[in-house]
Amino acid sequence: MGKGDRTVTGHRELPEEVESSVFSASLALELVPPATASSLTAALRGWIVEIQDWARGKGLLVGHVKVLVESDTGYIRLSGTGGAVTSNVSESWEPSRVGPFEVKVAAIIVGFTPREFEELAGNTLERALSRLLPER
Amino acid sequence: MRVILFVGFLGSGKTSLMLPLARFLVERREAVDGRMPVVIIENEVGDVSIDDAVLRQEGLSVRELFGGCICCQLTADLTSCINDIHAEIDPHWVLVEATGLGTPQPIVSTIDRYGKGVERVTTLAVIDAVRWNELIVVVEPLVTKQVTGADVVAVNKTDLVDADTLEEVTRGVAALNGRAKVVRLSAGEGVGPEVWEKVIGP
Repeated sequence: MGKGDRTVTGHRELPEEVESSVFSASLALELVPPATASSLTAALRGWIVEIQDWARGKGLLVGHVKVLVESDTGYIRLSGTGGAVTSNVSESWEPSRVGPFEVKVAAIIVGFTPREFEELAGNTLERALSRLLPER
Repeated sequence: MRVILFVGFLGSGKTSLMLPLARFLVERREAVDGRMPVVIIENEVGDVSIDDAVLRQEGLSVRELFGGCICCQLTADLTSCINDIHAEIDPHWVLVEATGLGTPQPIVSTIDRYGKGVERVTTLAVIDAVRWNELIVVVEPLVTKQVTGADVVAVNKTDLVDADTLEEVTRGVAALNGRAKVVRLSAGEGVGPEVWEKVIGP
């Protein structure tokens, strides 16, 4: 999928009866052929929606789900807290083709065990980005 | 250096409000004495920082503290960071953004006890008006600590709730912390300088 790392951690300060899981990942990618900005945005928006829908289905609270895509031509930001996903695109962003880029994601869910959340968040992120590649 | 500590649950709008406050402080202090007006300390509980990149895109000076919370896990790192900023830059203002899971009291205590060159710490709790009724039930102890430890409470996203809900949220905040200044605002719609003057105080 690309070089990067991902982690899931807990937090000491939350009250004992509330668990939280943090998923974060950073991936350096270059898609061949290059994706358009709109298809990349749609894929990552889909990932946020998938996490939020899954959390809602489990009766869990979405802390936040954030995505930042950075390339030489600017950035795309996406975020959600369980409802509508908001997005911002820098004015300098090149929409027609996205060259090498870095995608950073962070998702915090309150009320769940870290391992299951890690698998879900990692797998769905990989699926979302894989959809941008041509079928073989 | 004066410190403004931002606390507030995840997604409440801390970064979205920090950005215009930093701009306000930069313009207010511009060319007064040559000192840098603002330095930001950004804390993320995960190992990947997203908000600091956004702040840097705006040309702001940002220090990062990753992989834990400054209220419980990274207190020594916070102390080192503040003291380095004092020694190397000595800005007028240091804006500290806690993670959405952080509580203010231990952070203020760390800065008061060990922070060099800090004149005063003002704690700003950011409240998401849309999610208040949910959060005050689901994560009540955390939200209560964030509100009760604040000098100023910013009820954010006022454009996304009706007047009755806004009144309900404001009453709820006041019931938890009657001594705090309460400001209602919307980061999405913009915040006027008179609001920021109220937040930072004399």
